[in-house]
Amino acid sequence: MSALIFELKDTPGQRLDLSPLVPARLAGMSRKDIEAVSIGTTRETLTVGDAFKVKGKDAQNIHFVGTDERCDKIGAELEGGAIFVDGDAGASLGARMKSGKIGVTGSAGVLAAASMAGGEITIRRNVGAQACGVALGETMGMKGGFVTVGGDTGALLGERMRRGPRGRRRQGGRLCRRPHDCRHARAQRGAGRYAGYGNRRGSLIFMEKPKDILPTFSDCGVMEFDYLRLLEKWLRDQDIRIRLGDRARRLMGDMAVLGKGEMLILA
Amino acid sequence: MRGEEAELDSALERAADLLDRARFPVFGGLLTDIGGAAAALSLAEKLGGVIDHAASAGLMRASKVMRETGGTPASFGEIRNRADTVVVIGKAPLARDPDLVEKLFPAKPGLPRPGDNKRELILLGADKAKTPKHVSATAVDSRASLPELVALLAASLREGRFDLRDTALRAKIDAAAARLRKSAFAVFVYDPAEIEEPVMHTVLEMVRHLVLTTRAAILSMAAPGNGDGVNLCSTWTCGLPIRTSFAGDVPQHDAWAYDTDRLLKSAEADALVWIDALAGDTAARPKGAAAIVLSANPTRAAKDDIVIEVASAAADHDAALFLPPLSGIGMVKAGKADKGKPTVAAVLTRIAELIDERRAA
Amino acid sequence: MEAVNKHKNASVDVGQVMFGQTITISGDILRQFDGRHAASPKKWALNQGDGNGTGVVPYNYKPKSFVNALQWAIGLEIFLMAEDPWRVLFSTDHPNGALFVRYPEIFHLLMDKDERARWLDDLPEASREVSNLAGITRELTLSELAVITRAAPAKLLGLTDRGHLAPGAIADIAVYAEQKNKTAMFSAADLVFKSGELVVRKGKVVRVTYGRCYHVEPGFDAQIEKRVKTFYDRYYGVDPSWFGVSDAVTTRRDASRRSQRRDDMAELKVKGVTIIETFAEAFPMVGTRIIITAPTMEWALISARTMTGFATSVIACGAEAGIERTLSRKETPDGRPGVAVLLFTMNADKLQTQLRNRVGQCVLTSPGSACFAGLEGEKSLKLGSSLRFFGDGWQMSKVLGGKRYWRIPVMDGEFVCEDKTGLTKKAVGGGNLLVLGKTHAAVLAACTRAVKAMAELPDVITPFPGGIVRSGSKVGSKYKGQIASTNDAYCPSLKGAVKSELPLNVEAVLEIVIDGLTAEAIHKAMHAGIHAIAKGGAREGVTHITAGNYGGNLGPHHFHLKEIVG
Repeated sequence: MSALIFELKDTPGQRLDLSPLVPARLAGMSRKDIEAVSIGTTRETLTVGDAFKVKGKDAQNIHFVGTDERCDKIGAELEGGAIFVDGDAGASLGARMKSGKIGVTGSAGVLAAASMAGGEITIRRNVGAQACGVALGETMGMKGGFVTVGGDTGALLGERMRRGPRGRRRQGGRLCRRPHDCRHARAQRGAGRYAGYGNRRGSLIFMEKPKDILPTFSDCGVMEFDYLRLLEKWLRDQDIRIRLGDRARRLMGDMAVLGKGEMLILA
Repeated sequence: MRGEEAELDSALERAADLLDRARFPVFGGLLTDIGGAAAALSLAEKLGGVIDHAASAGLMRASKVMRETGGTPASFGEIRNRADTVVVIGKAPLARDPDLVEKLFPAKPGLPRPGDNKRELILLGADKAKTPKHVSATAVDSRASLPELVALLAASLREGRFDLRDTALRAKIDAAAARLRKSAFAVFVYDPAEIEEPVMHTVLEMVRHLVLTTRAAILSMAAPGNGDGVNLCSTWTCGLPIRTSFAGDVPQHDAWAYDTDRLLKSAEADALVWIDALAGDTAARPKGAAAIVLSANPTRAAKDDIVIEVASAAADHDAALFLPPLSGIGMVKAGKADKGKPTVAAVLTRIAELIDERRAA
Repeated sequence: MEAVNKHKNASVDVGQVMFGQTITISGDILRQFDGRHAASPKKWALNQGDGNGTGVVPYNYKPKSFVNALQWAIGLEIFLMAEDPWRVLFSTDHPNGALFVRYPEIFHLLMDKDERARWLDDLPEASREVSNLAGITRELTLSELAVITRAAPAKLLGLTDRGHLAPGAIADIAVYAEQKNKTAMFSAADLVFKSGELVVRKGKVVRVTYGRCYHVEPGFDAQIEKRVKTFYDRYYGVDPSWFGVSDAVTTRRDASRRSQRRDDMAELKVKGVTIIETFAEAFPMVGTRIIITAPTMEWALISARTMTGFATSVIACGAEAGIERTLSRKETPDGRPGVAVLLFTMNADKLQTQLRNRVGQCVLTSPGSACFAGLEGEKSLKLGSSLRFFGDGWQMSKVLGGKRYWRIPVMDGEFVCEDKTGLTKKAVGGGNLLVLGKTHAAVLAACTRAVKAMAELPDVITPFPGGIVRSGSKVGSKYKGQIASTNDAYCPSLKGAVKSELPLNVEAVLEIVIDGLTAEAIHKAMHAGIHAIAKGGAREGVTHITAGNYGGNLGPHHFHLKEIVG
């Protein structure tokens, strides 16, 4: 069956709430029903049919074509199936998603993967602030799943994050808080200022030394970590090839809070 | 209208026309009293618009942190009388209220308070140049940034290990932490507009650490322009803080999406109702969309589409406002009651009536 | 409830608890402060107002919680055991006990015993046992429900014009069509009249009305205004009632305990490796030796390794055991290749249990094996004398040279086992060396060498894997019930976080623990170990040799490294 394709007609005059366009909610719906779904966010009503040319059938495999930064909540609360975005995504991409896959060729807006619980998101370019952070109405950030960002990340990456390794390939913004793993496969510079600020637990892994390290991360020296071997192997099993080696400098922190977290800077 | 004098009635008619046609109006500024805020909320609900405040950036941070982890605030009066150690974080609190120190440390002794420590003020990341003489104050300042200073104080407070080359700063930090540990009631004062969420979380963690052995709290500086009052009014009206949209079936709050500046810059909002009518406060109206300005000082906005001169809350009429010294909403009597100018509430209520008439017709 | 039923002037007010998410809101700020530990989700707001306060703590009542289940059951019991519905008030404490939207479910529980049985099934056994609820068959009628929720509260408050439907009475009226499912019935009223207007029809709100706001204006002495003003002026509107901080919140529960201390480091070097001037602190143990033989050395070793497996530390393994050395045919009682095994515990009874279990499960079972005493001790332990019962009466005993041997039939022939073996109370456990180095590889290589050197010596074993332990422990933990925990002062990854004993360039620390039949044997083994470790010199990467102690107050044996080296 051919993928269900949503092709954006014009730049929308308002932000679009695309959270209804997920496999679980579209399964079994006719094209006419789908085109009648309301996606507007102002009092001017707007339906899928108004904004998108709809083609194809397979609701388990959804493609968005030509989307822009106003296309919010793509794949929000996704539970299975695949969504491919040929273009940019707006705010809250894959927020609260539980399983399935999302791929974006462009950039994503704020709160991408916010409070994500499972599944996989790959964003080829940049993400906005609070990626992997706290979705509206939640108390904690990302707790599972896997996110790979090809470009830059905004401020507050991984805010109040609990679990779930996340791949990041370039530099991060200010105040990256409570992330589990931040990897810089092709790090051009270090992380943003204050990486790890307020980390109670969890690990931040850096391919190269961040420019500024908070004074409340305390040096434990360089040593071998079997965990890195384990992690590298696990990543390879996930089809992600990142050379981590087995030696790293360990800094423990953030001593400002619980202090049971760490930064591992690969040696 | 467009800089020309006009009768109030025709201006109101124009405003009702503009708003009735608007696809997505935003009510910004909102420097007004509770009555004005309630009227704006009601009209925004009728129009499916957005409600925001000029000083909402800090309010949004504070409510986000409150949602995520809660909070441990103490009232202003309680701190003034009972706190023995007050840590003012950053420069913003003293800039917001230059008399803050005098209010928190009155010359005359206050009510009985726990412990027998001398009251002490610690200024973290600010200098003590303007501190009154009777206040025992120390400044912990260096080239380190404010987030770093907060982190260092928090680490020293819980006696965590960290290395700091600046031994002078280390000594100051450790002394401040030691003072906090032996305090009977420690309070951290900050302005949420100045420090970001992770820093606020770290401050809250300090409180949570201290309350294992003693009493501690925070004082989050109130937003200017009755921001806290408007935010509370929104919360008791629709269950959500400001930066809420009434366009859908149920109100929706989104601190990023429903920010007035962003909505105007992106042209997502096509009409602006800017309210600037509070004694002692004003805010520059952002450019972007057709505007209806309700101002107590209309010369400032002469070139706007529709400018309606209104009474200044707390100057021209009695006003219910969020009053920081009460840590709550109180009533302020007007200095000179000028009955000539309409209130924000009256203007917005009249516009709502005109819209109802149009829709009925 | 018997007492309540008996005393006609007693009434009960029930704030019924219901399972599920709710939020607790109380002006009892200290109660809420204490309750913050139970917050679910984990957040809370405690507002310290002027001389008073408010605490908001979310809470989730769970059926699986013994206490929550009991709270739930007690409320229902009171309603159902009260003989007179006029003296029991349904005044569910929203939202602390349950959200008011859960009331229909509570009514259902009170009116339907089968529904109660269904809910009871979800409760933990323990809560069901202590509750009478399962045995109660009473079902409240609609009329009784109206009494406990409406009429009785009005009557108790002395309000005669409300709480009932009669000419002249004041009431909002809800009308329900009778349904078996009371939850469904009470969730959607058929009709609701509010102040005489129809506001709900078939569960849907058809008209929104607003209530009235009442206020009172009592007179007061105007004099008070001046005093209040003076007070407010000076103190900023603070009520004089005073908040202190209760002992309950000032008790620190997780005070850190560090019993393990080290002496200051002093320089003494062997081949560039610094020997710290300190001592290993060791404890008295009871020990024994047995000899295992087999057709080949390979099988003797298999049996011995199996028998001494999972015996690294008495903390959790019950015993510490290891292979002392191999024995040539000449050295064994039966002329077969053999292995000497040492086994240590803290007392003779435990040693007996361990010996019986280990020989029974690992030697008896091993092809071709036999087992003999290896020690002439002051006291003896049962060996074959307990294992013989495996023979189910077919076993035979032979006494040769004053020693009794048992012959126990097994599938591959006979298991020969000496009756007793000796026990020594002079054994010593916990001799140790700590090796610090710049690389894990260097430390591991040096320790491997040391273990090998010690293995040559009699009367000692190194019970940990390959003789080496990497998870040295300190006594106690921040966690209740954890008697030992990681030796953080020696964890390289915690150098920055704790009062570390390690220089920053130390990447790995390994420990060799030595148990011996005598103190002298341990002394000799430590000597051999230190020299074997230092053999590679500092250049190899080992930086320090030190030892673990508990400040010298716990163990009577102190092995000073300085004396051992000399």
